[in-house]
Amino acid sequence: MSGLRVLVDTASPVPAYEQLRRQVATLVTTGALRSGDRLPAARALAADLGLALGTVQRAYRELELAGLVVSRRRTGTVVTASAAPVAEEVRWAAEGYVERALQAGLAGEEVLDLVRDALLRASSRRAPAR
Amino acid sequence: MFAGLALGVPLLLSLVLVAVATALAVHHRVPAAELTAPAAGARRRGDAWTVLAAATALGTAAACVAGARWAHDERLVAVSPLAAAAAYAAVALTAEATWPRPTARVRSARLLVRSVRDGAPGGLLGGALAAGLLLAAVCALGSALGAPDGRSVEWRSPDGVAVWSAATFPGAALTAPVAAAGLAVAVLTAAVLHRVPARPAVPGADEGTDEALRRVAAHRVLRTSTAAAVLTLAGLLFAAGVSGQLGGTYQVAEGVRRTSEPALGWRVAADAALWTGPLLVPVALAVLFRPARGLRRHRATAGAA
Repeated sequence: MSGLRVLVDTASPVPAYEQLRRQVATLVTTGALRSGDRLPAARALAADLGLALGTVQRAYRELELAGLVVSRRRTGTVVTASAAPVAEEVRWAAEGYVERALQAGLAGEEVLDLVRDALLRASSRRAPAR
Repeated sequence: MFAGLALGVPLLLSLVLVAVATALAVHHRVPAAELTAPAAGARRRGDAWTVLAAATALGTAAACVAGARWAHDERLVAVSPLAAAAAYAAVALTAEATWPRPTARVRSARLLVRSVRDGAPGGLLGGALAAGLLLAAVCALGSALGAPDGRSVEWRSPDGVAVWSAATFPGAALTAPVAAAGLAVAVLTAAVLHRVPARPAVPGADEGTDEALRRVAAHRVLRTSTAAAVLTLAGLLFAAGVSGQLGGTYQVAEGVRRTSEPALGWRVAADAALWTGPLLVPVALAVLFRPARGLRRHRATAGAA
């Protein structure tokens, strides 16, 4: 877990707490953070990122509301959710897609836009079947 | 003669230890050129604040000793090591509280849980705790055994005819300011130790470098406070040794003399205190000048060679 990092772009239109929340949620979803792993104290993370304490506390609160972490007085903030079981071939497909998209010169947001578009198409195809 | 030895031997020992500690520090010091610019800057900042803290501590101790001579109050001498340690810790706390925060547009942080124990070496932490508890125990015992004036100790014969008194004994008048100073040192040291893991990481520094810089900061304040507590303990124990002079023979009537002395255990404890005190001085100096395990050069592994 010591190698895991979070990044915050202070010039991004996405609020800093939301950037943090998304990244930690992704780390939990992908299994990089496992149930029982401890997150740094909000004060320490805020100091490392040069953010206000309230910003990190809000991110942690949102994660707690989503059921991904729990904050306790003695142990601090602990991951409670486990990664959803994702088939290995799906993970490889996702990694392969990202690699090809980046080689094609797409930016991160464009890569995600294509996934969102594919998701929309898939859900519209399934809608009449209901 | 004795006063000269009492002052000269610790001074000489201090100079030797300073020389050894400096030589070790220079030998192990990683050149700034081998560090990233932020890491070198962070180390430079830490060194500058340490020099300031040491100067403040020395100034505080000197002011206490000068004040004691001017006011003829030995209590100022008794609290001088702890007052110096409190001044050191206060400056160190300021350094930690003003540690520069990242200002870059894109910032990153490790999801790493840091604790006080990571930075503070276990042995030194245990030593500090033991020294603090021993000091508190000696203060409590001295206050309980001391005479009502708080500066001496008395022994009264069972018939109440003779009273012996010895000074200077660490009674309440002496131990109360020592205990207050000790409490201040403990609070300030704990504040620094809690602040060190929570200060911003050095941007661009690897995990080992960042940890080493934190470890050095925690080590410095911990060893200064521990050394001050041990030095104060040495002084109080040495002073408590005067209680071994109590008792003797006294005259109750023409040609009738009696002897009254404290129990053997009392005299043994007093002698032990008298000899343990000076023995603790080199221990305090060794703790004070014990170098921290700081940044180390990266050695090439056998496989890489």
